[in-house]
This record gives sequence, structure tokens and C-alpha cells, in this order.
Amino acid sequence: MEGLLRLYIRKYRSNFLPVSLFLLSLFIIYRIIFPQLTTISRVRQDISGAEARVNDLSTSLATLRSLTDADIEEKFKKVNSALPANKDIVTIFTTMTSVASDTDVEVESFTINVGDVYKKNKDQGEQVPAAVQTVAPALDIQLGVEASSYENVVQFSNKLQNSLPLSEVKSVSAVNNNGQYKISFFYKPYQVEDLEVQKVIQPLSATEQKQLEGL
Amino acid sequence: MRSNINLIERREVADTKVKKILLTSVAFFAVVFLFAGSIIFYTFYLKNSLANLKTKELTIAEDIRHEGGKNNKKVKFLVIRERLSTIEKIKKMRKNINAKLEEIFDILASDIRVESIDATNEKIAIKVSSQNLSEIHSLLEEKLKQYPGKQVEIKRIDLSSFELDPHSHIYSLAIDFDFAKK
Repeated sequence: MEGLLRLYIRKYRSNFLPVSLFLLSLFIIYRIIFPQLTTISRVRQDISGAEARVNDLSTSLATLRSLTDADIEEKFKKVNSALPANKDIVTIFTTMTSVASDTDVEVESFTINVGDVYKKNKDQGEQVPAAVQTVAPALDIQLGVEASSYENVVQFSNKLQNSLPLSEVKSVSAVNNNGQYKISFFYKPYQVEDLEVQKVIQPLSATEQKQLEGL
Repeated sequence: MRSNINLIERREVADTKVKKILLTSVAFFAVVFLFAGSIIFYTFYLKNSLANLKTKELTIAEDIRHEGGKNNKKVKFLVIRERLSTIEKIKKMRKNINAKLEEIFDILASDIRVESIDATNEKIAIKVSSQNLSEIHSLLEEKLKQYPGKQVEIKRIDLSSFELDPHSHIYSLAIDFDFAKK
């Protein structure tokens, strides 16, 4: 037995090194190369994602740096004059009296439906505001004016709807040059948490600039 | 025993064959080893790049926090954009009674006096009066019939009353305009 073993060892000992090298190569391929290729693929995906995020952040930073404080304040005031954050009754009244003065109309009465009525949600027992506009909530006002003519009644209504803050004339009625209006003035509270979710801050587009200039 | 066997030659052939196998296996191992080394080095390089990118990301995020925090610049800018979008939606959504009223007033002649108006977006009821019967006739027979051509939302025009005051000879009409609901 021992002699047979020695015979086989002597016969095949020259093949020992090549076989070992071959097996070692296979080991390196399966245990190092293949796992590393998977890791490379994963890391490259991560790099791609990180590059995209860095680009987005760079764009946001560039946008913020391009804006001066004065510029931001001016634009901020403009949009808030068009769509206030709350029920700004003083501004609304000032606008109405200003438009009345321009259209030769005198404000006689002014009624505001200020408070929204809270009601319980029947299903969930939660309290929800009763009046919720789909785009923005509105403050409803009833206004009585005295005009010199029907044209002025309509002119007042028209000019008011084209003034700021944004409003919608729901109804106009007039008898003997006395006009009554139902007007909704829009407002929208800030929802900062929802806004800050935005990942990229892009500069205002040409359309948005135009909208701003049109206010 | 075969006569043409050269034992020395066979050994040299055997040695050459073994050498070839050995060289091939060493070459194969060398290639695999070098390839594995390159891949490991490349992986290391990629991970380093990723770490640098993540650092850069954190730095820029911090800069944004700093820049955006000055006078709440970031929040204000986001509010501006959000407001512009809402303003545009409101402008598209809101109705314009005034345009309809102006169109109706345009078709009234100057000596037709408007007595009363009751207008919503869906319905406009006006009461007019005049001493000029021909103008009233023109209004009823021509101008009101042409009106739907100018105002596509009009659904119906009703003459709900027509009166004459025998003392003042003033004709009074009540006209209702029904518009399609949008």
C-alpha cells in the first residue's frame, strides 16, 4: 500500500503545482472577483445617486445665492398682497374704498362673514373647517354701495375683481343706483412644512417672472 | 520492447509537456491574481469617491441651511413660487360676472334705462325701461337675437315681463339671461 502511494506521488508530483495554482485561481475568482464586481455595481449606483443629489443641492445653493434680500422681500410682498396669508380685513377694506373712490361710488355698508364654523366629521369624530376651497380659502363679504349710474356699479365690480388682494365677485344686484355685492377675497395660510419637502430650488421660470410682473 | 523507443527522448518530451502545463497554470494564476488586485484597487477608489461625494453633499446642505436661513430667504422663495402657482389657479378658476354684464349693457341703447340688476354667474336678470318703442323693438328683435353669437355660454334669454305705464308712456321690460353652468 505504502509502495503504491509512493509510486503515485512520484508519478503525479509534477502536476501538483499546476493543479494547486488552478484551484487557487478558481478560489480567487469565486470568492474575490465576483463579490467585488457586485460591490462595484452597487457603489457606482450610489455614486450616481450622490452625484444627482449634489447637482440638485448645487442648483439650490446657486439659486439662493443669486437672490438678494431686497429682491426676495419685494417679490414676497407682491405675492402676499395678491394672496395674503390670513384674513386681512384692513387691506380688504382699504382696497374697496380705494376702488370706490376711483369709480365714483360710495361704500354704504360692509358685512364680513369672518369665522368658519367648525363641525365634527361624522365618520372620524375629527373637527374640520366647514368652508374649504379647493385652491384657496376665501373670506366672504357683502358690500353695499351708492353709485351715480349703473355703469359705475359694474365698473366698481370689475375694477375690484382686477385689484389685489385677489377676489371674485359672486353676485351683483342694483336697484336705483344702489349696488349690493357678494365678494369672496382669497387668502392662503403658509404651509412651510409642505414647501420644505422640495428637493431642488430652481430659479423662477420666465412664466413665473411674467406672472409676478403682472400682479 | 519496441525497437524505436528512445527513452531519453521520451523523458525530454515529458519534461517539455509538464513545463508547458506549469507555465500555463502560472500564467493563468498571474492573470487572475492581477485582475483581482485591479478590481480591489478600483473598488477602493470608488468607495473613496463616494465618501468624497457624501462629504460634498453635507457641505452644500450646510451652506444651503446657512444661506437659506438669512432672513428666511429659502422659505420666502418657496412661498413666492407656491403663491404664484395658486394665484394662477385662482385666476383661471374664478368667474367673471362683470364681463357678461358689460356685454349686456353694450347691447342696450343709450336711451334704454337700466332699472335694476340681479346678477350671478349663472343668471342675470335686468329690468330696463324706455319711452322709445323702436329701440325696445330693436332690442327684442335684433340685438337680443344676436347676443348668443357673442356670448357662447348663454343658454336661454327670457322676456319675463313687458309693461307700459299709461301715464308716463314708459315701457318696462324684465329680461332674464341664463348661462350654462361651468
